[in-house]
Amino acid sequence: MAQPSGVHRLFQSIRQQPLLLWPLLSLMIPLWPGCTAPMPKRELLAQELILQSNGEVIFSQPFVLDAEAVGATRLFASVGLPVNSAISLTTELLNASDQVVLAFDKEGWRERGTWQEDGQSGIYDESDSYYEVLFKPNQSGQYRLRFAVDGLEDQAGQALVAQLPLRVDVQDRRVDHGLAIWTFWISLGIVLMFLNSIYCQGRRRYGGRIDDLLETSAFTRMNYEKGVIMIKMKGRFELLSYINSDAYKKTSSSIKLPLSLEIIDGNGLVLQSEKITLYLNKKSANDEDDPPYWQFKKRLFFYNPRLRSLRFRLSIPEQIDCVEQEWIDFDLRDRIVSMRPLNIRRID
Amino acid sequence: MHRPLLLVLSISVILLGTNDSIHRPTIYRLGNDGTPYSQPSSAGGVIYRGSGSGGQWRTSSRGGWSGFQGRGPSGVK
Repeated sequence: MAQPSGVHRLFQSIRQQPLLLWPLLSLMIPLWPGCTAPMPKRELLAQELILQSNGEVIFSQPFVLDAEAVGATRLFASVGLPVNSAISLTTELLNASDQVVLAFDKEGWRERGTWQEDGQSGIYDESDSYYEVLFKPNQSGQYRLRFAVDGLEDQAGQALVAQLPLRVDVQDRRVDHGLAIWTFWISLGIVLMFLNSIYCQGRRRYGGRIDDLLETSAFTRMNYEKGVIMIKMKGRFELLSYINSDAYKKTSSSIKLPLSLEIIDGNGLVLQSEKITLYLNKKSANDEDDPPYWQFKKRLFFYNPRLRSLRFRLSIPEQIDCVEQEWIDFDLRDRIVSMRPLNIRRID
Repeated sequence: MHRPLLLVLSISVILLGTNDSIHRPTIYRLGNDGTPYSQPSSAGGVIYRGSGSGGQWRTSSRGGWSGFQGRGPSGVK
């Protein structure tokens, strides 16, 4: 029988890859809002005013609110206060008919002093002198703001006379970026659960924690569909019990472990035989007083071109160098799909 | 079977969350009953004078003002 050419082999190896890429399109779901044009906030008013502490009423410039605008309208004001003072600032929103449609007070303060802690000291200057109110207009039209100082006092409760700078900002089309970010992360989390259910699962045929790999091989005898089969192993080796616990210091951090693999068909014919080298890597125990252990992890992928009965005969030495096998976590799955090319052994 | 559900759930979350973040249905609309959401004073909050009722804002007299409170050095830390 003629051997397949190099090009034929290349196509064969590509065709046997269990690549399934369309589920990756689901990543577009959380990214979709980012693909649409961002909606910038709109500045409606940005004004500096001077407030008189005697209660004189001042008005902002008029501005237009749109009842149909998406998002929220934001009123922001920040007042400059003298040190060690408190203010009660009244704000009213007036519509085009000079009717009050929203009224509120801001009780602000500013305090300066010294602090001492653990032998250190410094000056603090802290204040609460701004506000932010979010709302939506119910009618489009011209609006303006009316401000007045209800009271300005010092720490002793004595009235102060001062001119106070006031910065006013009105914006609309304010979207909730915090909610948008949470939405992205939650949606991404659900999509990752979806991808995990596809790419990391397959169909479990046999598995569990075992002591004897060769004995377990008997349970791999079953009918396998056309497709990719995965054998995943994670094993733990420990120092031989009769060896001095200090011996591990001389033991290599990586030990070669030969794995013998035979794939046998339904008639008992050995289809494939291979020696695979695994590597035992030294790991530190959780408790520093305990000696370390050695661990190996290996995933083997096989492409089965047609429905048939197979058995995977696997064996490793139970003891090598000065370590012996404790247990192996064994996992046999089929119907494997992947988002990236795998190193696959074809079962001919 | 749960895979389509996960996809539907993800699409629902993104549609609902994006729609709410843009249209903000929970934000107070002028003329509605009640008042806008009030944050703590230190986070830019205010005290509303009155509330919406019957399509209009009904202003009430303000409560007493306690004057200077301050926060002291502990607040700086």
